[in-house]
Amino acid sequence: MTPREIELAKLARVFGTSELPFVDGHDAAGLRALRERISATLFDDARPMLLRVAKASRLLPNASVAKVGEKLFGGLLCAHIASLLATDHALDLAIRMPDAFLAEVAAQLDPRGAHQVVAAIPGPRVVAVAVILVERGDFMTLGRFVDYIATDTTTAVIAAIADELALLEVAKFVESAAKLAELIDLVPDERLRRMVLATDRDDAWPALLPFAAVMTDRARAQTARIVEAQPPATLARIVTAALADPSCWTGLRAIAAVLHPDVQYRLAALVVAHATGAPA
Amino acid sequence: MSKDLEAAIEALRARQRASIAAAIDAALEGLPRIMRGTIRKVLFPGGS
Repeated sequence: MTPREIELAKLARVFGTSELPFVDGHDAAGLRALRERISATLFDDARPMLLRVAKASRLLPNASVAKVGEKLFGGLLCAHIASLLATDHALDLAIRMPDAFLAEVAAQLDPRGAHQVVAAIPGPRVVAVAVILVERGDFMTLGRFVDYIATDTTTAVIAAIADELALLEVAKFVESAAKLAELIDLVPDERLRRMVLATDRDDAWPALLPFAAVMTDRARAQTARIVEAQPPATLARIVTAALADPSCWTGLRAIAAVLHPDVQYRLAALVVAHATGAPA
Repeated sequence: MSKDLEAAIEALRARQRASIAAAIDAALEGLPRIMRGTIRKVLFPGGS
């Protein structure tokens, strides 16, 4: 998935459809700006009424409000209201709600508006919700939250997600490059190796390669060592992915810079062969 | 902003208002009618 395709997927979620005729001509940054403007517009539109609901919620005991929120309001409304409540109030309500419902709220929540609540939710609850999101295939929601959860909690979430390719899917949707670099750096070396192997097995290089451009030097070097240990066919698949997409090409250049010179030479030969149609 | 985009955002707004109103109606269901009316007036002072 290219950065533009990732932004299109996020916009499709906002609009509830992938038919978006007005996005032509927008690059990834333009689409992101558009999404943020639409989220702000929608939030501002509903804000006066949601504020009244938030005020009314202070009149009832938290246990009742949590139950009403879960049983009647549903994930969307709870998500909207969460950002209008005082952090302690929202946190107390969230803690009373079951993990599966919190996963529904998370899917609708703009974490930027409720980042203090998100950061305050106990780590084990975040892990439980993250596992549910992965089981539901909702990598986008989890990726959007990575920016706002503590490093220790992120480490625990990574440990709880057994599937390396699922981690890769989550990483696609992390918004901040710095946080993405931190996330990849938290993946233990053995899991990084398994991630590279799984990527190669499923020919998922278009998903992994773009991350190489934002990895820390340590993670990039570690990835390069793993790539060096793979058979020649792996390099060929990497080159094919890189030549098909500029963001993959940028990632390949980042990894190539720290590959062993022999492997750099093989890589260069493959690129030339691709470009000229000659056998490598 | 293109007309397509404006129309899509307006549709989103309408959908959001409808889903919030429906969620609130659902939450008030079962309450005595007079109480429901009072709460609705507080939540939607301009009517909805």
